[in-house]
Amino acid sequence: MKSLDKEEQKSKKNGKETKQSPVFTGNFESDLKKVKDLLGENSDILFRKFRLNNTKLKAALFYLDGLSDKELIDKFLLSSLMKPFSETDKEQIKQDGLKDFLKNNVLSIGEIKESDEPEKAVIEILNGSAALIIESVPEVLVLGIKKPKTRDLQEPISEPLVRGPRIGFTENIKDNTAILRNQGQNEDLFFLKKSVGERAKKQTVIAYINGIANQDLVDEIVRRIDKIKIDFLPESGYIEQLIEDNFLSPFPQIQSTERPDRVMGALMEGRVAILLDGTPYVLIAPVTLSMLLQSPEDYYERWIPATLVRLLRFLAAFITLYGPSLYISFISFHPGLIPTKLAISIAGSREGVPFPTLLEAMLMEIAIEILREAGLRLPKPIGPAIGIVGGLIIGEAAVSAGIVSRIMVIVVALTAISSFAMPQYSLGTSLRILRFISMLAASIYGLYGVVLFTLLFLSHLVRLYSFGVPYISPWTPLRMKDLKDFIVRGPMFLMKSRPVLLQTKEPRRKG
Amino acid sequence: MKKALLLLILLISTVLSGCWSSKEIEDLSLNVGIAIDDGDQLAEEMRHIDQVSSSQEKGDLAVTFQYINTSATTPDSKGGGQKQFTNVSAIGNTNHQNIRVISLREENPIMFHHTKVIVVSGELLKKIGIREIMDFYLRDSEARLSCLVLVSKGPAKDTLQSKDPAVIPSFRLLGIVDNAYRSSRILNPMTLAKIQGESYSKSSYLLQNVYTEDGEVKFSGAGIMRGKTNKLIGYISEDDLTGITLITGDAKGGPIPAFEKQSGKPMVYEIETIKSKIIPHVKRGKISFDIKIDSEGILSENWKDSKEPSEKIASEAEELIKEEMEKTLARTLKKTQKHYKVDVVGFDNELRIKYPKTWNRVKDDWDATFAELPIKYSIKVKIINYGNTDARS
Amino acid sequence: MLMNNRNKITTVQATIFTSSYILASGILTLPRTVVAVVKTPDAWLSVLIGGCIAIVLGVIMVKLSQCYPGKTIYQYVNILIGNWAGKTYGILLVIYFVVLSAYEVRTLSDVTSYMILEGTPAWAISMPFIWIGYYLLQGWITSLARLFEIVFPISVAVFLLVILMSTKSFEMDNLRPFLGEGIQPVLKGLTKTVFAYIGFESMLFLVAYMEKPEKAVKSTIFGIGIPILFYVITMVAVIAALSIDGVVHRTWPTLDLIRSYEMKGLLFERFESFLLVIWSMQIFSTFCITYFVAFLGISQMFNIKTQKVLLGLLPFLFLISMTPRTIDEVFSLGDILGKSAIILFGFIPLPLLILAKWKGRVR
Repeated sequence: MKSLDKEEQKSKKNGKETKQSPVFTGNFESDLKKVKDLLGENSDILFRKFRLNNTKLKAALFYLDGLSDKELIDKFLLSSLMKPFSETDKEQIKQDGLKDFLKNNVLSIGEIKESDEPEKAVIEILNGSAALIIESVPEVLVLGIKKPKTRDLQEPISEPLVRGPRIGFTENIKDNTAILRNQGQNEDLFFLKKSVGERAKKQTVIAYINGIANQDLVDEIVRRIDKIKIDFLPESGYIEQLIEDNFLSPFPQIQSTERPDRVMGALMEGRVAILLDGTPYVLIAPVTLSMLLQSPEDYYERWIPATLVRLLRFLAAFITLYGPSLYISFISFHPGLIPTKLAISIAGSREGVPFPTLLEAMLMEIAIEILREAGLRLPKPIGPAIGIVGGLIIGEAAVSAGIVSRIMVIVVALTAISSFAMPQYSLGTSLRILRFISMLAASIYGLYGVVLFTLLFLSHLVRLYSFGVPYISPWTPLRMKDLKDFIVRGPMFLMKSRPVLLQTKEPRRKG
Repeated sequence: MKKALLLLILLISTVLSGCWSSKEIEDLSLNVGIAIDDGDQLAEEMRHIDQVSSSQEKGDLAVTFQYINTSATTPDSKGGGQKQFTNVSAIGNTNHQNIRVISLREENPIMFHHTKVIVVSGELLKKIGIREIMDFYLRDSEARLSCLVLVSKGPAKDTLQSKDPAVIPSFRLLGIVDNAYRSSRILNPMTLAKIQGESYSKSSYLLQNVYTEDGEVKFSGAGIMRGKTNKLIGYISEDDLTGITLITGDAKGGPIPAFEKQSGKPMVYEIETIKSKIIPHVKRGKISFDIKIDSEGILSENWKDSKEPSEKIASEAEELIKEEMEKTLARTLKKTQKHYKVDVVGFDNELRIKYPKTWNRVKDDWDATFAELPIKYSIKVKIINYGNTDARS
Repeated sequence: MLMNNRNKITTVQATIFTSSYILASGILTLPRTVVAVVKTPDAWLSVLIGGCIAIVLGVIMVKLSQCYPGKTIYQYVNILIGNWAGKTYGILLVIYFVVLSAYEVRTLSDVTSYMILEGTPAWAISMPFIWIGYYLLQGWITSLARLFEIVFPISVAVFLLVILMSTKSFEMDNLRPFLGEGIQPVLKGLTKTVFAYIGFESMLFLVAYMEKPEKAVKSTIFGIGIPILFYVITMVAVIAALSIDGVVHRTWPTLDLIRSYEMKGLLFERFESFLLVIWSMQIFSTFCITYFVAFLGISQMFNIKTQKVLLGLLPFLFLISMTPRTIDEVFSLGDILGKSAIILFGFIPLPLLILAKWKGRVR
């Protein structure tokens, strides 16, 4: 990887050397050529030559087809530039110089930058701005007329709620920051802009609330993002993988979400959000295991149902992890531990099944994983149909063919459904991975294997940190204050303090 | 990297060589009941199975194992009238040997995790102490300590027979024990866990007796085990068992019939609550016991015409029932104290708790001492309810 | 990076640490060993008094450690009694902890292979166990403390549940008479019961790592108090259900208590597996602590890099755990360990404390 990067850098330098002077001179033709050379033969880059009216000066406008706002260019830019200047205007030009006059009096656009380097100007053009080159002016005026391609704000698909805002992030970072701003007027909400990516730069924004988030935490995140050396960042998953603490862990150490309310809640707790242009997934750090088991809805519902739902989720997580492995250990190691009647009926239903329990369980689990994957990749109208067909027919057929027992089908189905009950998809995935390990352990050592797995799993969890916060807090280190928002979602009037381990600047919530 | 590789190799090697103890549930015979008989007596009957190359003509123990026929219990094959259980017997000198003999004859090894009852033949218990017979099951970690121990007056293996193929005899025995709240003739279950303690303490105790005939069973009285030898010395009848449960306070739920003096018409009293106390006294080295029984219950059946006011019926009935109970007590005590000369009720326990010093003096020969002790009793009966008829106005 | 005190543990953690250390292999056999000596139903009283003695010894050690804040016994014993004597004591401690650690592994593999995994070789049972301990210890003392903080409450809950369910087979008569033969047999039992509290020495090391070392006394008292409660409940329940005559003859009486009842109408009828599960987790705790303390000793006394020591100890642990051949040898190894613990932690800390105080005053 590293050597490749170096080569690229070298070739870049070589490319630079072949070009002439790196700055604009004011010579129209040579300036035009510089820009054109840099842009190359790209069909989507449009340029329009014209004359600034009654000055005889040549001018050219570069912009990107599709990304720049054509209507704006046609109706306002070109028309105002081609319109004859009046006498008073000419006076003004003499006073201010042409460039400043244009900026001050003609170009009715909010975002104007000057650039004397063709390279920078080109980057701006590729970003969707328009570049205006004018004869005798040694700078290029960069006009922010980007009209980003974006979709409407929609309900987040991956995290639907029954009760809660229906708005989700989009692919446009400006919309996303705007959505966050819109969550409530707060002058302390800080957005730190960074552009990341060596070959294709992309904008990221680090959002936090000044006065709540611990400065060390913000600094650390900025440091880690600055250290990212990569060609291109297609999605925030790249950032996640590049800045996480432990790449060997099966657990997500940074939360990704499409929900602005979730991000805002995290910010208010003193966490930091990382937004990347081009993806609706916003990262939240640091994250703890309990956060991944929570849904914003827990807070919108009243505390009693919310608590019960949380308990249900913990149960689901438990079943996901241990369901099949406990089944295996009871059936093939400790038939004495289940009630006699159950033992009899299981033994009866397994009568004639040719495989050992592990193989049986593995077969069914893998079948279900394939079904899940297939259901995801298929076009939307077919997906659910395939799920039903696969699940019902394969399950039923496997049972009547005597390959698997009925009870195994129940266990596997229950486990699969439980894993989908996780409010965060990524957590469900990691639990599913771990489930296979626990099944293996159970098939070697029975219940003792399950204990060993648990110890290994917990040992890993207690050693895991996310940006200096113990992953498994607030379970341990035990902070009584944080416990009321762990398994139990305490009533609102109790939720007055922010998580202790985040070491926020302001530990108590206002009000 | 190297470390990861090492771990991987270790993991793979364990996985590949693993599964030492794994044994699928359907490959095991799910044992639910064991009957232990005297091998000498059953030898003739069982000869045909073991005659092939059996090293000994007869053995001390004839053990019958009952296991579930799992293929008959699946929902698909229901109604086939298939027997849900299989009994296999073997004769040998010890329990463990017998089990291994079974392995020579059956497809699947036997598993004892679900063993619910062990029925021991009374004849065998007269010869061999229960500690010896049960030692294997207590030592082994498979059999559960919650397993019931019963005595059978006849051949124990017959208690594991049933005419109805849908009935699993071991479960039937277990179910009957659970009916204790319905009858005063069922003892508190004696489990393996308790057998351990009893067989090492010197005190005598009772084991529930099962009577069997032609595939039907009935709980009938109890076998008396002498504490010193841990052997059976005799039986007490069902009626006498009521006396025992009255003293121990376990008679809850049992009906006590009484007969009206003139007409002989029965009245039945159902015990709702019963408090009984054994109070030991030691005066100048002389030991004596008082039994106090205090019971409340329901008049559950009354054949007599009830024109009289209910108060009168009640007091009459109370008196009759009290007399009936006293009779039962007297009979029971006579049987155990005078006839068998053993203390199976637990007088020793009360003495041990109240007068530990005296107890230490007499404990070595307690049963003999007990036979000579005076025992007094007083009974109080109160009818608190009449069911749905004859309520007081 | 938020520095959440990676090398310090909270007071609650210290308490749980001590409790986890104490509660281990003993809980399954304690009723037998004590009743065998006491021979009356008052054995539980003996356990209670034994616990109080352990608390006193524990507090002595805390006071000793508090004289040298931030230092473990390995570091301050040199200052206190001179380099050679200190080193000797330190090495004895290390040997003791290594053997104790191996002993825990051995008990685990014995019970597991007998009770639930018949046929699995002992090495296969103990090997992954030791490896997981090694993995956990790389996270240093905070990881240990955190793991215990998770495992211990679960253990307590399951334990209480399982014991409470056994009340069906309680017979109060088995517990009476109270002090029928006077206090004499109870005192005789102390020789056995103090062994059960081995682990109270954890404070010799823990104080150095506590966030608030001034609260060490409190956490010692609670840390030993919880096991006392555990033990007394166990003793009472086991004796009440199995009677003293029964207890003496059972190898693992606590397990037998759970095996002696069935609950109908629940998902599970039998619960000894639950007990075995939490028990093996507690064994893991004790194993990890002793392993950790042994490695701490070596690395602090000889200034060796921690990773090397940690890995280097592994084969020793494994081999020592494989040394005893019969279960009798295992139990007698336990006895030897108990006796040496009494010498190492019962008799030595008090003179050390007096010495430390005296030195402090002279200065």
